[in-house]
Amino acid sequence: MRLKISSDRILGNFARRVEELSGQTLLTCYQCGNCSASCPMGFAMDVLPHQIVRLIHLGQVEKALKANTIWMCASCITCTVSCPRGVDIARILEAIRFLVLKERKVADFYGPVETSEELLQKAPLEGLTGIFRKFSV
Amino acid sequence: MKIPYYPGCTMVERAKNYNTSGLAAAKALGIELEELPKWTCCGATFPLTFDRIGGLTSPARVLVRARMEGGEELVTLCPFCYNTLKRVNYAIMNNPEAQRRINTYLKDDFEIEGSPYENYAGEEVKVLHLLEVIRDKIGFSSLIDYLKRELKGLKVACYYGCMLLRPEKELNFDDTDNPTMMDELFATLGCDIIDFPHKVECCGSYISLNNPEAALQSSYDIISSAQRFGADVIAVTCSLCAFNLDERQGAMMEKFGPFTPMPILYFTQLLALALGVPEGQCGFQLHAVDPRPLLGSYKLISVEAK
Repeated sequence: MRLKISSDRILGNFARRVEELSGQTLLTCYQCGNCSASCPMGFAMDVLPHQIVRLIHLGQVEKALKANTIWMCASCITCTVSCPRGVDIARILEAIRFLVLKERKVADFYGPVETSEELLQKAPLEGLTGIFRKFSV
Repeated sequence: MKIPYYPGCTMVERAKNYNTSGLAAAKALGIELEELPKWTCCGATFPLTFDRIGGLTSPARVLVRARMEGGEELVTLCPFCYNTLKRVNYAIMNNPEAQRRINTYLKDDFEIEGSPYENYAGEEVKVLHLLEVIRDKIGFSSLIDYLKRELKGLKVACYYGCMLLRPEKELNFDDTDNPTMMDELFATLGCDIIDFPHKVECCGSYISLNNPEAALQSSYDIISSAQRFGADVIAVTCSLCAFNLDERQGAMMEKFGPFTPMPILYFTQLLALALGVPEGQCGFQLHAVDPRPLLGSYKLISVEAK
């Protein structure tokens, strides 16, 4: 991947918002990739969780937000318990998801209207409530 | 012994067999799970951003309600409820700002209802899962005294999923890499325990609703792993895991090729069976993959194996 890096974008506004919401220091991550290796949905992501953290470090916000990563994350917290640096990756992904949803610029928004009648009738309620709370605002 | 019980929405709506078998199994062990009066939704997910304190009030309300009813403990079966309630307790205890704001919200609510309100500090009501109750109040080794029938030779793969285990520091349920609580329970019931590498992998959770293709892979990995290690049945603790692993086996076969269907049962259904609960209360007919031929072949229920 080709990146254009400039000092005024590194750890910029978006990174600060993510740090504030997630309570995590982004530079604590040293890019070992344990989170991505342990992620049960990693195979379906076009950018892996540790790469998202790096993109945000470098101020490559559009690239990070275009990726499907935050919509594949089920908040199973496997990444968080695998991190040797104690970074709560699940909180970082949630912070990004939250910022994106607040802007309401996404096609991945998923609420009751987007859900099929069959699933509304059949799916466990904690699943429905869970995804509505995660993927809509 | 009587303990307050928080069923949560799925238990009374969509996972009735989990609820009835859990209540019946507990009763057979002398534990009376008393449904919390006027319970409300726990919110199902714990908000992971620090400024969404409003999202913590719904589960906190459940805990405050339990304290008002005089309970010091609250038992759940649903791991989503367990996770949310327990993490909220942790947040209230460790975040003074969250504690102050949640109590301000709830004070208003309860005073409108006419109940006197006292500050909730996050430690008055202990959240327990039924597995912990059985382990700590009965003891797995003492279960043998209650057994009406052994599940001899049944090869059970215990699948723990996410919500009971992670994050470890806040839930402190069992080892996050290699939990053994359910394995110990089923070993006491006479089952052969199938240790398999996917026991803590996520099944795809609610991603199965908006992205069924992706979640299908995660669920299939779990079933095929259990199958390779020789399991007859996978025991689960979560109705969303049950939905992903059980209901979607047809779709898995279409995508990955045919395999022998794998029955998915709640741990309470097998426990209830071992404790002599009539099979009518276990709801074995409510599964996509019918577990009755398997249970019949082990002579555990009256249905003959086909």
